[in-house]
Amino acid sequence: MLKIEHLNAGYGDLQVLWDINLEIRSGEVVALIGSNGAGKSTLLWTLSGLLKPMSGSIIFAGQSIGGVSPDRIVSLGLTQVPQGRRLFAGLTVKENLLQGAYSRSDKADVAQDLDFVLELFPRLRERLNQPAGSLSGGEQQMCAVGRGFMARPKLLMLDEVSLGLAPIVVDAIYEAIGKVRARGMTVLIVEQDVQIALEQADRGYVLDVGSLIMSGAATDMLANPKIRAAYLGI
Amino acid sequence: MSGILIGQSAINVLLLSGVLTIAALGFSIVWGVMNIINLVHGAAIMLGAYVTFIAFTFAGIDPFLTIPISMVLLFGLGYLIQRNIINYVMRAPMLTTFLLTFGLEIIIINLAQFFFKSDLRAITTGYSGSSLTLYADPAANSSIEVPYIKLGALIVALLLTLLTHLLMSRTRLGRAIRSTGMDKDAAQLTGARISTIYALTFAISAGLAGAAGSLIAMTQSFQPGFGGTYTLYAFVIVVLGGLGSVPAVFLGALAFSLITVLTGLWQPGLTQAAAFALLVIMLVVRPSGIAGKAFYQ
Ligand SMILES: Nc1ncnc2c1ncn2[C@@H]1O[C@H](COP(=O)(O)OP(=O)(O)OP(=O)(O)O)[C@@H](O)[C@H]1O
Ligand SMILES: [Mg+2]
Repeated sequence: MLKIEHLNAGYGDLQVLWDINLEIRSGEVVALIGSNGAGKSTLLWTLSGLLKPMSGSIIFAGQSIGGVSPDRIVSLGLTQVPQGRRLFAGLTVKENLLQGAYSRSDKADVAQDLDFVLELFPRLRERLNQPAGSLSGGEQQMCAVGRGFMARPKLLMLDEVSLGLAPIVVDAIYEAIGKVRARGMTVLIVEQDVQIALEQADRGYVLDVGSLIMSGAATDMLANPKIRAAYLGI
Repeated sequence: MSGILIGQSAINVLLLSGVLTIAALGFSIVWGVMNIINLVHGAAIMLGAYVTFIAFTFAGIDPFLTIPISMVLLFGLGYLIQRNIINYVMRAPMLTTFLLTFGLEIIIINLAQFFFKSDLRAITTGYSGSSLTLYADPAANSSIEVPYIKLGALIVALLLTLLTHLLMSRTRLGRAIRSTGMDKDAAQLTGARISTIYALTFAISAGLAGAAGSLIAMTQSFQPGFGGTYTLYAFVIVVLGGLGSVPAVFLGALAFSLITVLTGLWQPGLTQAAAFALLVIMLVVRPSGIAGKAFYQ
């Protein structure tokens, strides 16, 4: 579904990512872990077309998407829930969710998906006509994840959705992600919280100062003493 | 002050605020969504006035029927200007776009002077002099009058204000425009093509300016330089009402008209000074405007 080869990317002349090689197969849940400033969000920004790669190739669903405009990438089926939620604070919850489906033209299905999202997150239904900016942090994250679902992407990338949230809210969000996965969506989970990410994933990659230094099956990685020492503090 | 004078003044405030709302609406939307203080705005109003003048004088089209023509032409021009010129400096600091639109305004006015000449123009229709008498006091030989042409302009202005409000708050395009204004990157992540959204936003703004120009052409004489004053008015109105919603622009225009009419009763030479004194006070006391902060609806 997604194949990244020898990707170098960054901001202007500042290179952040070095020779990234990564693959995600259809139906998988892949975790990308790495500490503060490792370059996780930079990678996602590049995949979404908001940053142009310096070199290397990104193939998504059979098409080269390196340097392609963000709107085209969304229409091809690649969407992300950005770090920090980035909701449209002055729009209502409903408007935020509908804006998530902006690239779609199948109106009836959009209405159905809206219902699906509200079943996943019943608290959003109660807040449907409130400005997104007035929600609690947990509700905002649900809204952001819901907005991502509304694009009905082939591959959904989630950037640190658990950051700063109570465990019970994190559980609710990952439970919802599990249900979406059951519908056939492929998922890339980006987290600093290694435990949460690897528990959900089939496979994982570790990004360290801009380079991928390790990859493997999630269960193996969770058991790996190096990872436990470096990221779980055990 | 007599009752008739008060009544007539209230009517005048209302009549003035309708046209001023339309004149300021597009300016406010471009400022709020694109973060551009658009100095070309007055030139677009001026071009709208000339569209109406030319269509009326040379083709005999009723000025009210020329409004859609102005709007469509200016919409197209606005789209082209954004797409081919301003789009290239959208990432630059506000001062750059400010200076760019300043330059564009001068070019357009100069071209207008060349093609239309600097003569003062006016439109006189068969119904230009007549008015609706709301109340008359034969004893005092005075009355409250609503000129038909200004009444028509008010109705058109209110209608366009309502339509703009609905466009921004109820349609898919309006939602995308508001999303883009709030968070450009997040809007791109939902699949909005920013260059198109900006071009349409600028085009809508220019189309509204065109309508304002048509309405103004019916009620005052003008020459190619007149639009600049309306850019200033739009600036004051937006600061008064607050950036971010259609109703706020209407409130701002109402406040601006009230000050203008009241000062005009007392000292006609000081209306502009009063309006701008209000601007200064407002910026110091309540920079978010009468309506406070909102985002386009
Ligand atoms: N807009 C930017 N311009 C220049 N450098 C940036 C920009 N955004 C991030 N960086 C730099 O790129 C590097 C990687 O940042 P990035 O946000 O991708 O890391 P991250 O792995 O997502 O970290 P976190 O877990 O804190 O979100 C950092 O050194 C950061 O300072
Ligand atoms: Mg990050």
